[in-house]
Amino acid sequence: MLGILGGIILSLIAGAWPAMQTFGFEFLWTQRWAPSAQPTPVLGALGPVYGTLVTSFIAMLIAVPVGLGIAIFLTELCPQWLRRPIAIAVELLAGIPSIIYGMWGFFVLGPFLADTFQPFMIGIFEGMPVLGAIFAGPPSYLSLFNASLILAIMVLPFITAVSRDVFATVPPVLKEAAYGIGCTTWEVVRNVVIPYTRVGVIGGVMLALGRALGETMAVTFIIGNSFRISSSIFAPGTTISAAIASEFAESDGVHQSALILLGLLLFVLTFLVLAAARVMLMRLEKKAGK
Amino acid sequence: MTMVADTLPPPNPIYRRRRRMDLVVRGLCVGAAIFGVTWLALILFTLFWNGLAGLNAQIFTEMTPPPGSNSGGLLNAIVGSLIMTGNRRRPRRAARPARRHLYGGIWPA
Repeated sequence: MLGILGGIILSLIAGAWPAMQTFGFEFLWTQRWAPSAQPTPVLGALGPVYGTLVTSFIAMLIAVPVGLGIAIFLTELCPQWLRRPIAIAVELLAGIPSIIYGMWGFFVLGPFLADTFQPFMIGIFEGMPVLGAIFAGPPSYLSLFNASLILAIMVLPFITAVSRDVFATVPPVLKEAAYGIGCTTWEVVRNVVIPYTRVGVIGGVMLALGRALGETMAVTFIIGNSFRISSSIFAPGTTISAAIASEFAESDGVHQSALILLGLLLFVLTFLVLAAARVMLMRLEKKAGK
Repeated sequence: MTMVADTLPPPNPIYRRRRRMDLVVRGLCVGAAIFGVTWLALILFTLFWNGLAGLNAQIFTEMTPPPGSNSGGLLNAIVGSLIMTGNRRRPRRAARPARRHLYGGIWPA
């Protein structure tokens, strides 16, 4: 297993070497992406990296509360006979191929959001200092926000399934004791279930985040593939994996090498995010006095 | 287990506040569940609505046609998926949700 991992990293580095030599560290903070610029191509990773981080962040912003909400609903509130159907329905979301998400986002969700939700949000926040720039128009079928929403739907089942499983490991005695002294359902969840299962829940969230960072096909369909960074989340953008998927087949020379370097960057990015999560987790545990 | 909070009239402000908080959170949880299931329903509906119309026996018996021709199916694509999935290492029993490994073979990102 480690051998395969090492081989992948080595071949990525080897493939990315020409681009590293050409662009150096400027690759990281150049926004322009012009493979056919004269005399030499100008390529920078800022747009895709920004897109990757922003879409994943928004996706987690939506998916974590909803996923936890469903898990709480399934373990604490739902009538027994409805549990399995809903759990299966949510897990089925994980079984939908990403290309289907992409096509559905392209043909159904994109037009719907651009016609209804986006103008609504743009209208509300128009003229406000920061939010006005984030929710700026014009509405578009292909946008960072659409991609984020699709990503949120895609990672939802990971968060829900893992949280539900760890919620089920909470000893009934603890919960019943809390209910017994008069706690409400919310107080039981907040003060007994969540503290008991925190590590597992964060694990599920990390799994989801890992998928959101690397998701390719669905995002490529609906993000618009624009390397310009815009302050608005309703503007087209691109992510690292979407850029690679849409350009690799017709690239050569330094351009191709730059795409491989993007891949390496995604690898590093994912690793850093997961490492940061580990550190956060260890801090939490220390604070909890374990 | 949770009925007590629902049936007793809330006698003082603290109880009232706790009860309201509880109701709000419960409402949000139910909302989240509806939200999640709705996506599945919407996607499946779109798939069947548009997909069933194009379904016929040719899909499973004929190769993908060259652009411009009217007949043909998806046999090569279907067989390709089967071959690739079959060649994957069998899902380990210890890896908990084994069916997800199978999904991984059929539709990775």
